[in-house]
Amino acid sequence: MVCTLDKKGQIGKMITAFPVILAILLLVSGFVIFTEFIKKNNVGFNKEAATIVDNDMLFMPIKMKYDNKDLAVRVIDLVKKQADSTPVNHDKKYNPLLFYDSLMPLVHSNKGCLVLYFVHSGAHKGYAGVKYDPKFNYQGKGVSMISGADPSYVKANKFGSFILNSLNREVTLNYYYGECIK
Amino acid sequence: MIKMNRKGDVPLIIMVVVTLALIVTLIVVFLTFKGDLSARSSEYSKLSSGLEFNYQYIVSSAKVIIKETVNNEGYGDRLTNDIIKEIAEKYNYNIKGQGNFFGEIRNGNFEFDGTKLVVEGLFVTSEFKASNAKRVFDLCLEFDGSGEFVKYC
Repeated sequence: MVCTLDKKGQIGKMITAFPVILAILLLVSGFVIFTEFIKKNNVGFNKEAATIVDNDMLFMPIKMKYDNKDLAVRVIDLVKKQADSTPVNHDKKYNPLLFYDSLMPLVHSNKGCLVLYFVHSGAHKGYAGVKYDPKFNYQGKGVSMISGADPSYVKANKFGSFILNSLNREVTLNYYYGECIK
Repeated sequence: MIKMNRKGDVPLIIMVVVTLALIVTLIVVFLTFKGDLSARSSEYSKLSSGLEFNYQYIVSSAKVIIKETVNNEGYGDRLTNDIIKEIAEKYNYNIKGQGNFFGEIRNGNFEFDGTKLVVEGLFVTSEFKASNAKRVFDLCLEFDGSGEFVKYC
């Protein structure tokens, strides 16, 4: 026996099916648009936001002259000495200018940029920083003093940081070592 | 003229209304979604960077302490463990999140037999905004006769 549907029944079925198909289409197109949006804007995995700062530089041994001796110290040891030496130099054998000279080979060997700046808390609150750029020629050394964070590096969200205790106050060191950022 | 049964219309009407409501809800959800995933990604990144930094600081300090101990410049005939304790204090910079390494050394909770340093139950922490993370590990480093780091054990 062959059953034929009533024409009005078919129209009824079509009317019912239309919003369902519309919903499916909207869902699919919405999903496609949303995923394209995610891809385009790097939402969820922003490369810059997810950058893990390379800390190796802080533990590299560098050569310095201290108390008339040639020493191989880590960058972090030098950073600690530098933090302790400002604003009052408690170690007369240590010349703060050694800090800048001793770090120079890092920049020249890597041909990259090194940016360091201290943020002191407490009574002597303030910034002190240094930026090494092989292209920047300051007294032939490729180093410039900065009073705060270099804006292009802050914008790129590239700084690593740590807080150490220096002479009973907190000093934050923000650091970056790698490709130069314009 | 054929009249439809009104009772038969009710499920059809409900189906259409529910579907339209679903469509409107979907559109509202799509338009109002503002997943701040970038900020979270940055937060996790800072946390893991902090943990990695503190871990590297501890491992690096352990290497430096042992090298200086083995070279024994100016520490005389004192016990090796006492020399390690004294040198460790010199490299304790009280870095935020450095954990218990220097405390364990100070309390003598370590073993050093001349070539192998073992400190167990160590941790480092990292904080960023309201989030914090902790890494627990045991430190076991092997050195050669001149105090140079050879490998992890």
